Amino acid sequence: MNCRHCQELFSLYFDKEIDQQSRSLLKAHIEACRHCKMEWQAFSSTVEFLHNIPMQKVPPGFLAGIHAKLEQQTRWSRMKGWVIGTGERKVAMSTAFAMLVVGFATASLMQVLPVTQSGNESGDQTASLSIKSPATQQAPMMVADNTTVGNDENQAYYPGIPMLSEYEGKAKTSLDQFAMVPRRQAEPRTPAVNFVSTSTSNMSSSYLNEPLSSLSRRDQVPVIKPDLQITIHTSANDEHVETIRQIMHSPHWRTSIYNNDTLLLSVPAGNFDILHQICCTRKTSFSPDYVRTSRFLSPKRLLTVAVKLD
Amino acid sequence: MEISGSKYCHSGCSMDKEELKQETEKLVQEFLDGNTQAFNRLVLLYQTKIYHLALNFVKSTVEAEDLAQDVFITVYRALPRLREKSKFSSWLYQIAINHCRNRYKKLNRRGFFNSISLDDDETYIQVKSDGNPEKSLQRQDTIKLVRSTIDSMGKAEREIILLRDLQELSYDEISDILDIPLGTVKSKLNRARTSLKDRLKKIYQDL
Repeated sequence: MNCRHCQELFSLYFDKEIDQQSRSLLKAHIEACRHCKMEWQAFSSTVEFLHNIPMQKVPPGFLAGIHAKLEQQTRWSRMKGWVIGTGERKVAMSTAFAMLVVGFATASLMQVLPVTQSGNESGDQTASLSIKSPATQQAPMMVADNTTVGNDENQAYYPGIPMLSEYEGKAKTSLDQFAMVPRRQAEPRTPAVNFVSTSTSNMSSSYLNEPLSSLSRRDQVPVIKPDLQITIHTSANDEHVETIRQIMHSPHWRTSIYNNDTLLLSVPAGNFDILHQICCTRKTSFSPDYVRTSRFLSPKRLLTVAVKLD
Repeated sequence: MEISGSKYCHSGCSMDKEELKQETEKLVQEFLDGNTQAFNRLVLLYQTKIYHLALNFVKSTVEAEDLAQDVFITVYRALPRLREKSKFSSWLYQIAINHCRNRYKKLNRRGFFNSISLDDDETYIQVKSDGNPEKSLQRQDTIKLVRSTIDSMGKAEREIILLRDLQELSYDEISDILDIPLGTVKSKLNRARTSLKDRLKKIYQDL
């Protein structure tokens, strides 16, 4: 037996957990080896000292403290049980919670569901419109129509600045070129309108007549019902442009673009005569028709006039 | 704080290990049969050991009392789920060791051990005088030195020394409590004891 092996067995030797043969070998080695003898003496005295360290008595009231804690915890768990509930109360609590959840769900659903326009539309019309996707809902003003703008997709628009160079060379002038185009690119809209519209011949007119509704309250815009509609029939491009310019740049009313070929004017009742004059210089049709010959009477201070270019 | 001279100072101190084991099994069975008084008796049998173990971990009598009480509360709640009734002692020590480890970690995070001193009379054991004040004082100093040396050892070494040399548990029990093989217990214990001996030797050489 060498010293290393001997010292590995010190612990077992001390605890008398070693077999007889190893024990005698170890004993003989310790007697023979001075170093191991010293190590063994240090080892055994250390462990013996540990065994002789007395245990400390528990403080008085230890057991009572356990019972007090147990009692306290039981009371707490009873309170918790009361809050969480057992039996009927448990059912009632969970029912109340479920009802609360259903309430919240309904409330949030109400926010998302389409809100139908109250007015003189028929129920069927409202229903058919309510399934429109938000993409179909164009704001009546500020529409950017990519198909009419042309191939140049990087076209820069600046609010309020008509880009004459863009439309002068084209066969058909579009009002979009006058539009205040929002910086955000608008979504394509035509297919969705076609889906809703049942008329194919006079689509823009039916679109104008249809009230707009939205799936979301946020996107919803008030339905515009013009008080009267003026249709200007022009064939020449220059004349077309001039008419648009004249109407749009007039300080007597506020102009906005409703869709591809319709201007929406907010005309003070006193200024209607000026518009009447401008329109009557061209081939024009009025709706209602009597406006051509007699004055349009309305209790409103501001008339909403749709000028349509044909 | 006074201390008894004998190792087993509780009501079960007069028993040897076999008697203690039989008594424990009987009390566990009684408790499971609905006799809550049996639990009190179990607490009295083991309170000193568990309190002493706790004290060796947390160093403060107040914390050790609270910790030992928590151990017994856990035992009270979990005892019906104990499968092997004969292994109550090992199971109790397992709970105690887990509680001690957790509490030690918690207190250590708070910097509790930086604020207490081993020389503080309130925090550590006072050895009862046996008529020779000088000898008693010397022994008290040695105990403090040995304890602080144990504290400076690694976690695994410290635990195995506490269980074997301060709690006087058998190798099998330690193997069950620490959930390590018997051979590992033996080798680890020898390493821990040798390490303690070397540390103390170095301290005494330096003195």
